[in-house]
Amino acid sequence: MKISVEWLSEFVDLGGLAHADIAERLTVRTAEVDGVESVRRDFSGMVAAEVVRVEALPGEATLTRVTVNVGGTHRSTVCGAPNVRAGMKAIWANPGATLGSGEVVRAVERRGHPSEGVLCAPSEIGVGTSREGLLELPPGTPVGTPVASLFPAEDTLIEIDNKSLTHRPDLWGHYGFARELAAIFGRPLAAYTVPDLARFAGLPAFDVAVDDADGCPLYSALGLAVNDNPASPTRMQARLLTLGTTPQNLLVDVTNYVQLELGQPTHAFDARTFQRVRVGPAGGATEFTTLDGKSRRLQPDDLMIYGDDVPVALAGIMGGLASGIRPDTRSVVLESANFRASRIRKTSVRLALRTDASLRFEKKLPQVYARMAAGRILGELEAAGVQPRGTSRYSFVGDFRDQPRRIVVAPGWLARRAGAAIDDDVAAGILRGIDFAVSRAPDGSLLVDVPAFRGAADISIPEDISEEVMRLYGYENITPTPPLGPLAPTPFNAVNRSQHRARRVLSEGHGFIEVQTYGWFAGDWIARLGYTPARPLVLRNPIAPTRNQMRDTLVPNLLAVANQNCRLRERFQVYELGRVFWIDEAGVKREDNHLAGVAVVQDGGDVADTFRRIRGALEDLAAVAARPALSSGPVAAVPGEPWTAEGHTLELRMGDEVVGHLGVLPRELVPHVLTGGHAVWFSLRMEPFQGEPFPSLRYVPTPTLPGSWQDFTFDWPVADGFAGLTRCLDGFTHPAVESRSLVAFYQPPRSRTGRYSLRYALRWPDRTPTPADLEGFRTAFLAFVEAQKLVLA
Amino acid sequence: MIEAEPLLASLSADLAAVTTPTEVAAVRARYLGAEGSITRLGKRDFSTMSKDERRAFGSGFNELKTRADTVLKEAAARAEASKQAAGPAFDLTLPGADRRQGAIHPILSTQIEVEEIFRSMGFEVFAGDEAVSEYENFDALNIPGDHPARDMQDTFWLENGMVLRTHTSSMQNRAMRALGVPLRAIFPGRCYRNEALDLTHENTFYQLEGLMVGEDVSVAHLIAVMRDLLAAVFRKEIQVRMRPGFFPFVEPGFELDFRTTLNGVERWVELMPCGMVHPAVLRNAGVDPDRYSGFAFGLGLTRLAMLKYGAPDVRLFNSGDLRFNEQFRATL
Repeated sequence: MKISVEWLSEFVDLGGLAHADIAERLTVRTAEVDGVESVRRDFSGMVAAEVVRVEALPGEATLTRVTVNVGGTHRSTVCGAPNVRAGMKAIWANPGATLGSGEVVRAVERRGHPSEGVLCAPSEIGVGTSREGLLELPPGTPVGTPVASLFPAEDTLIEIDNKSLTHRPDLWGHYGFARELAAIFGRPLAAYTVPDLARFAGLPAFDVAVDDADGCPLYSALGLAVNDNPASPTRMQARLLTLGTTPQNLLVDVTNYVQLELGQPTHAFDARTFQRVRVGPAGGATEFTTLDGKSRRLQPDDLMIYGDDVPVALAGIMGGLASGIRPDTRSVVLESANFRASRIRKTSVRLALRTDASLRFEKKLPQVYARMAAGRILGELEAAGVQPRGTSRYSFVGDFRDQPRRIVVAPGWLARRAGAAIDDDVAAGILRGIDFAVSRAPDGSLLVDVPAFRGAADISIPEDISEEVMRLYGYENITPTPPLGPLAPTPFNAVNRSQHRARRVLSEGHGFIEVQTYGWFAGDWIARLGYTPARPLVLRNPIAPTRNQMRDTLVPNLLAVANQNCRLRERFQVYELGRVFWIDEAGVKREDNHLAGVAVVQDGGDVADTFRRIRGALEDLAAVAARPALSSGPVAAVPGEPWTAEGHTLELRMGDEVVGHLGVLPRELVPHVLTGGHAVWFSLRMEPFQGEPFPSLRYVPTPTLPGSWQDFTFDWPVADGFAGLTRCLDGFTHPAVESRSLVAFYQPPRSRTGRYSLRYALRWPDRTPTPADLEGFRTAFLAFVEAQKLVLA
Repeated sequence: MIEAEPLLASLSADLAAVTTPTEVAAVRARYLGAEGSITRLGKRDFSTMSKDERRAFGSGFNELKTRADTVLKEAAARAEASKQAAGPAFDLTLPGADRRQGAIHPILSTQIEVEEIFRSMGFEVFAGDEAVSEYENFDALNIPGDHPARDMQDTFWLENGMVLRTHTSSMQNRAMRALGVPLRAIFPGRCYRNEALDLTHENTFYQLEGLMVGEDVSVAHLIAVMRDLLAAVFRKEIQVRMRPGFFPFVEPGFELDFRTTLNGVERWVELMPCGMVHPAVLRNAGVDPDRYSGFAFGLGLTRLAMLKYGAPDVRLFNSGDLRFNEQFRATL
């Protein structure tokens, strides 16, 4: 929203203040300023003129030859304005004058006719951007008056970020900002004078009914007749134009003017169109044509204004075409009302019809504004000289809520809340500066009476009072003070620590790059992979219809990352640590932290090497978390997960607990994901990796006596695996065996038998091994091997 | 008797002309080898010599051999040393091999660092769900039922009636109930908003909520903690300012700006909303607002990572483009 310094200055003297300072102070005290724009206009060579004669030009559809009286002399020009007519007052730019576009006026010939100057549209005198027709001056404007005495030659526009005003319904007009600036700079504020509508009390009531009190807490109507509906006073037109509203005629302009001044939207209906007014839901009505000529599709709970039971306005958003003000309107029904913010927002958002009125009603305007606006409009009509007369008394249904609300603030509380020495008397002074009344209770409490123009949602509790005091006291005047607290250890978060530890192991130790993917699946991608989540958590309003399922595994999105990068590099390893979601059998939403990754090798590496390398990284994850070592579960595909394949997927365990899977991307998926080569993926639950080194990590005394070792090499079916071999060897026990490890593995080409070399580390607790000890072990082991029918190579 | 000096002079001259250990060995062969000129001196007819002459010859010959051997050994050592000085046997300057070129995601490394800073100030880390009840995300936070934030165009709604949390503030209620008061806690995590993507807007982003509740927690405390946090993140004193901002779960509410240079211009940059916890929020969590007060802030980790690393487009963070992710190898 833009506010004009020229307009503000009607209520508060801002002389001597740099506009940048005004903007800066407003930002830290009241509302964020988005920008400051300086407006300068050059009116030299421009005067008020009267159109004397308008003649059609033969063969010209839009151009006319116009004669004007510029103050004693007549000039002629060729004009294309649609609203030019004899008798109107307009602005004449003499040769040498500079138009708003920067163009300098010259006397020329147009279509064979002399054009001795320019009749100006608003944009041509540099006021606003409207170029739709001539700027029409009020009929009483003396011919020859220099424009410089009609319009301000300069102004400054301050643009306020609307978002910072959502809780300040009192700031949607100039007067509210004038009050803030007066308080900020300690300058007097001119009173907002509102003519008393009680003067019409003797007239008959206008028939007002509200059928939907929830949607309309207050509705008021005032019948007014005027003796003319001319062009508005230049002050009003200048301000409207400067703020982007095109003047039309006084009866329309005055409602727009008061909206910008006070913040309260009102609507003037042509009184000829109905006798009584009613507010209610749209109900069965399905279509309505708004003032802009567009037909709007209604929903039953859209709030409507009915005139004689015919819809005449979309409440709080836009009036109807049929009941609008016309140039010949002399009698109006002036609506000034308050509508439920959420109802207005719902309708205006749905219809994509965001108007200046709906924007304001959405902020929960103070109800007392309705009466203030009606009175102010009456005052402006009187000032414009159209002699407004009441045709009804001021009639309303609802409550103006015009009484102050009292909030009690305990003595010294404001200073404690601020953490600064703000004395209660200083606070009271600050509050009075923004028209709050403050008195003291016997116990010293501040009795704060909140004026009715401050929104009830904005100011209702002592904390709201603290904001008013502190912001105007100045947050920069509060000295930052680090809080004091007991010096005590901060508890660790095991989940959080285990995640960061996993990141370090994979990223810093094993060369994985961490990525983040979206929390939902891309439907087309999982369809290509052949995946359907079993019990997905589903979004009602996804970013796209195919992205409505939350991920229940991290693997598909990581395969998409692999696919995205596979043309840019031959080898890479990525992982993601994040949340997966599903609905359990009991219908309850569940979520869990998973860790998944993909290693891509497209330059001819051996898949078995990649597989063992990634498994090594995962074994490290368990080791650094001081958790039991990972062990191999069955080699089998996981039903429903197409990235698993028979013979290519290994279940990973920690003790008896299944912690995840490690697998090779199946051959049939490779063309969908990679350019060639292979990929190894893994998917783990994080919870089993949430270990802590203490107390599980314990010192084991280092041996003082030397040990020995013996190596044995077995030929063993690869299909039964190392896991199978070690299961078999687990049957052999000997007190001297300290550990058993794989030292070499070789699988001859095209052979299904692998050659597994294992090392037994041996140690006797009480002696250095003797040849007899070693021979004894060897004999026992070979006997076991023979009994198990194992084949030594 | 033995003409030692000319022989030794000749040896020195020969050695002066050679440099490598092999050449020195060749010189040794010429003088002390089986047919070497010194060795040959010892193969003469001793029958013509008297006993005294033989004794004198013997000691002279042995002295000559010893001196020649010493000179040759010194020359060999010099040659060996100069051979090594001539350069290494392999290229020691090649770049390192077999590196582990991994990277932690820049938002996460930012989170880890900010967690560390807050832990050092006594704030514990608390985590919560990403799909939460409407109550946790809105009602508990004093956000009215008709607030625009609940609209479909702002919030992702789930078919089961829950929402994807729109802010980490959704954990305030749970944290106060779980940890009790007084408390100092931070809740980092992923949040979701139904927004159109552009340079500065993502529908999926990270926040880090902070909450401190105690007796007489004040605005002065909040400003100090925010200022000190930023100084720790940016490793220098940071100027901050607070301006009024409205959020239903704080009163008063602020927008916190900090002074920085962006695109070559020094200016105020909006960083995080914060404020004093609204008494209704405390009450909803079973905390007595007459006794306790608190502050809360919602630090945008994604935004902080953008500022910290100079990333111009928020969409890079979830892009999955490794040319982006791999740049952030440096961690803590």
